[in-house]
Amino acid sequence: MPRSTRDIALVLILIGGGLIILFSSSKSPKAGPVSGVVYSIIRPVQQTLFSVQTRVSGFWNHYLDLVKVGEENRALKAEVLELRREKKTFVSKEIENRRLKKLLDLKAGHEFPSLVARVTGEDAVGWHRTLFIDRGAADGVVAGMAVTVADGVVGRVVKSAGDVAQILLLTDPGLSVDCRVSRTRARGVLNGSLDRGCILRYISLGSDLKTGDDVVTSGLDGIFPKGLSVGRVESTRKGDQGLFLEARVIPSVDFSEIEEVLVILGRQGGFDIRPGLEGNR
Amino acid sequence: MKAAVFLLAVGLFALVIQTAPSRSKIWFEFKPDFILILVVWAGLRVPAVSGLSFAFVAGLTVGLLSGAPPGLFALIYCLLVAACGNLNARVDIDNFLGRAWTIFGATLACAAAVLLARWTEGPLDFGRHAAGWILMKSFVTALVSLAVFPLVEWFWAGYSRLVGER
Repeated sequence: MPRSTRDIALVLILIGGGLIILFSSSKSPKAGPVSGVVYSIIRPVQQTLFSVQTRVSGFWNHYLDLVKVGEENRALKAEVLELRREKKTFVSKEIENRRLKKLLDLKAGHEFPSLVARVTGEDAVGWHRTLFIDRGAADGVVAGMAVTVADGVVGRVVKSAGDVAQILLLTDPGLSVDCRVSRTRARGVLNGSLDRGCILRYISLGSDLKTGDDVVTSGLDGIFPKGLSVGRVESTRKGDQGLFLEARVIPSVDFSEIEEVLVILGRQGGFDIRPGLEGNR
Repeated sequence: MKAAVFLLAVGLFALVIQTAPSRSKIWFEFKPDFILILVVWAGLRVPAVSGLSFAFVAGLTVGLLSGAPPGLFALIYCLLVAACGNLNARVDIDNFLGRAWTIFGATLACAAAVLLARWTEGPLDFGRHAAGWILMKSFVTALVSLAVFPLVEWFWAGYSRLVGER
């Protein structure tokens, strides 16, 4: 039998067989015994293949996930860094905002014209207690003007040029401020001292001065308006000659943390210091 | 000229650090005097003319940026440069501890001169513990100089290699 005839016969047999099986199979939903044998052979193989496929697919997906997680991790890390930076900026802006708000409240509370200035530097050596601000003669800042923050008195302008002024701090021995003890209304003169804090001198011996008493400006020195917070009494003692009391005062302002200040552009020649006008100041 | 340019650059850097607003109470209280350390370094290392010129210019600038009378620091620093040069010719102060002691003494001398000048302007009471504060500040400056001195030497060596011997 030629090869081509044999091939054609084979194709016809197979097709015929297929048709016989197709038309002879019952419509019953129950599988026959042959099908059962085939199924029982195939099922474990199928299960194994399915299981392997699931594992491979799971592993692959896991790998893909890991690749994604890696990328996501990098992106999240960058985002966290960015958010932290933003948070820092917001916190610093918030703090600045609060400080400026306090200064604005203080400015609104003053009856005198005033000017907000930023601290740009401090004394080069430290033998003097001075700060530099970014407002000067061009802004109307002249020597002798009082400088404050919301917490209290900072000092007095000692020099001013175009857009810079130098402030002598409350803690410098060269600055004197006429003060009152808030509770007893006892008067004294406050000087800075090179060691910690300030000294309130010339308080009458009969004064009932106690640790923790608040000290405020009296307004009688013609430089500082009345009632500005200066500090708190830390300790008291009798002066060297025994004629007056002395008190060590801790300033209410932390000078190392000042960033903005309020310069009080008082009237030239200072504030009115005529007796009896204290209440108007 | 080489030393003058170097000192000017380093001095400017030191001045910026010293006048930058600090956010630390300890730094605010006991800030070391970097310019003084440089002045002592100049007194020991560079020719007198360069050292004195630097001391004068640095002193004038420091005077402007502090509450001191103009010229006081220029005078003090020039005297320090001259004193360091002379002292080193007689006694060997150019060693690890010698330099620290010299800077400690120089800071004390500087403080004494400044406070004396302040006191002569009008009697001032510097406070009961002022002496302790001055000693502490001098000690801090001396201590810091132990690190700053080698650093300046290192920069000076690098700078010398860069620009040559002249």
